[in-house]
Amino acid sequence: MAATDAPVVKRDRSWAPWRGRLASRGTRAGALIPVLIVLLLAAVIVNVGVGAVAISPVQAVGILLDHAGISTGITYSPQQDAVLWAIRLPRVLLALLVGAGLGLAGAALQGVFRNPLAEPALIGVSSGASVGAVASIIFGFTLLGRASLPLAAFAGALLTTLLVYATSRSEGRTPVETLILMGIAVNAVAGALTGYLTFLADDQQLRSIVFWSLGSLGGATWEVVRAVLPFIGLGLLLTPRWGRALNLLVLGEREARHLGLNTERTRFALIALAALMTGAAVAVAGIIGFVGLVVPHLVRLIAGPDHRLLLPASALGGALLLLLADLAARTLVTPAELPLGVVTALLGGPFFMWLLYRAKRMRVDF
Amino acid sequence: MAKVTARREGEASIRPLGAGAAPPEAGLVAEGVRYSAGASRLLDDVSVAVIPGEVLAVVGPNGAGKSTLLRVLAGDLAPQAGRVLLDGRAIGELRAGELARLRAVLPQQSLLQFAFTVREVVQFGRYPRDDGPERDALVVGQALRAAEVEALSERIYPTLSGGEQARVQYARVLAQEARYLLLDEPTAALDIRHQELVLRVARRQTAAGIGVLAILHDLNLAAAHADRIVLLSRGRVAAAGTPWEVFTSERLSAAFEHPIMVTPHPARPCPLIVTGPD
Repeated sequence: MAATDAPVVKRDRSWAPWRGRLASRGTRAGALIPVLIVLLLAAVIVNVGVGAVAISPVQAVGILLDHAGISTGITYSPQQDAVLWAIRLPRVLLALLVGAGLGLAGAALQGVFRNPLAEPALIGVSSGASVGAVASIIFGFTLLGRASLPLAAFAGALLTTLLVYATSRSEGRTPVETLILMGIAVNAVAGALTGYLTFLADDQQLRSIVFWSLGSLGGATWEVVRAVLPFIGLGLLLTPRWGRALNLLVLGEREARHLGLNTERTRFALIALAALMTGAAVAVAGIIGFVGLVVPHLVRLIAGPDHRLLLPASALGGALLLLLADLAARTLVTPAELPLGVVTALLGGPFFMWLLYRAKRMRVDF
Repeated sequence: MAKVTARREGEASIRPLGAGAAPPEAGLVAEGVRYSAGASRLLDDVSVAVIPGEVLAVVGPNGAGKSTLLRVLAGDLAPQAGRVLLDGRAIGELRAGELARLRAVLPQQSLLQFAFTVREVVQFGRYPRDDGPERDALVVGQALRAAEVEALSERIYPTLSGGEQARVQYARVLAQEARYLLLDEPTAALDIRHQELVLRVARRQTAAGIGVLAILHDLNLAAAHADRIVLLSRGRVAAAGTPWEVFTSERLSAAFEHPIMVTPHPARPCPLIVTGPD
C-alpha cells in the first residue's frame, strides 16, 4: 500500500491497473465456460488424431459420428477406425475424467481448507493410494485380476482419507487446522509404509512401483473408463452443487455457521467427494500432481474466486490440462512415452512459481 | 461543522434494515450461564438480556469472559449450566438457517484469503435470506452505505486495510437483517470517526426493533452509545445497568485493577471515563 501520507489521488492512481481487470472480471467469468468447452472439444479432436497412425480432424469427426450411427460419407481406413475407437478414444475419455476429477477435487478442497495452496494430497488420498498400489505390487494381489492394483489403490486412498477425517474429529467438530496437521501425520506414516514396502521389492517390482508412481494413462481401455466413470462421474455431478456453500466456508468457519451453513456436513460431503474422485483417478492413472493445485488457481486468476463458477470451470480446465499434458507425454519422445506425472509437474512447477511471483508483485492472495 | 451536519442528514436518509416484528417475549437472554473450558471457569452464573430496541455494551478487563459470553449467546457454545433463550425458545433447538435469520455475529477478526470483491463479501450476508435478487441488491446497497464502504464495493477484499475490512464485515452483518446483532469488538480496528459511525449505525438499527450487543474496550464509547452496560469481571457480572449506574470510579478501578475516574462528559449526557494517576 502507498505511504499513508500520500495524497488520495496518488493512491487512486496506483489502483488504475486493477480497474480494467476488475471491470472485465465479470465478462471473463461469463465467457470462461463456453471458451473452455470449445478448447476441450478441439483438444479431444487433436488428441484422437495425433500419433503413429495420423487421423485428420475431419476423419476423427467422421469416425465418431459413424459410431454414433450418423452416416457422414467421410472416408477413413479400418485401421484408423480401430486405432481411434479402441486405443485413443478410451485414453482421451480417461484423461477427461481424471483431469476433471483432479481439477474439481482441488478446487473443492482449497475451499474446504480455506487455503489456496491446499491440494488433494493433503487429505491423504495420494499417500494412501500409494500404500495400496505398492502393497498390491509387492504381495502380488491377483484375487481380482487386472483390477487388483487399482482397487487396492482406491481402497488405500479412501481408508487414509477416512482416517485423517475420523482422527481430526472431536466433539462433533472437525477443525481445519487439525485436519491439516492430521493429514501431515497420516501422510508421513503412509509414506513410511510405502517406503518399507518399496524396500522389500525386487527389481521387477521396483520398476512397476516407479512406473505407477510417475503416473500414466497408458493403461486406458474401455473397461477402465467404465470402471472409474461411476466414481468420478458422481463427484463431477454432485460437487458443483456446493458452490454457494464453499463461498461461505472460505469466509470463515464461524462466519459460515453464523450465516446458517451446516459446516460439518458441507466439509464431510466435499472431502468425501474429493476423495472419491481423486482416489479413482489415482487408482487408474497413478500419481498426477499439480492439476488439482494449478487449475483452480488459474481459474481464479481469470474469473475470480466465486465457487459457483470456480468448481465447474476447474473441472473443465483440469480435463483440458490433462489432455494437453497427455498429448505431450505421448508425442514428445516418440516412440517412447513420458510419464504423465512428470509432464504435469514439469509444466506445473514453473507455472506455480510464476503465479506466486506474480501474486507477490501484485500484493494479492488469490 | 456544516460538513458534519450534512453527513448526519445523509445517514438519516438510509432506511434502517428491517428484521420483522419482534414477538412479545422478545429478547436474546442468557440465564445463569456457566461455561468452563478444561479446568478454568470462563463464565459463572452469568445472566444477560439483549432486548430489541436497545444497545447493550459488554465491558470488562481481558479474560473476563466477554467473547465467551458472546459465543454462548450466538449459539456457538453450549453452556454447562443455565440456558440461552432466543425470543423464548432454547437456542440449541433452532436450526442453523433459522438462527441465521434471527441473529448475526461480527467476529473479532476474519481471515479471508480469496480475492472476493467487497460487494461479494457483503452479499454473503444474504445467504440465510430468500427474498429474491432485487431485495438482496437493495439491502446490500444500504449496508454498504451504512458502513461507509460503498466506494470500496468493487475493490478486492484482501487488499483492503484492516479498518476497511472490519467495516466490510460490519456491512455483511447488517445485510443479514437479523433481529439481534452480536458485535465482538466492532471498533477495535477503526479510527475515531468510524468507531462513532459503527455505534451510531447500531443505534439506528435499534429504532427498527433490533437488539444490539457490542463488546467494547473503549469505556467512553460504551458510555456514549449504550443504553445498558454489563461489566464482566472474572467470568461474573460485576455490575449491570445504565452507564451512570455501572460506571463508578470504585467499581471500574476494582474491575480493571487500575485507578479510573468518572466525571460528567462536558458535551454529552453521559459519564466520561479517564485513567487516574497511580
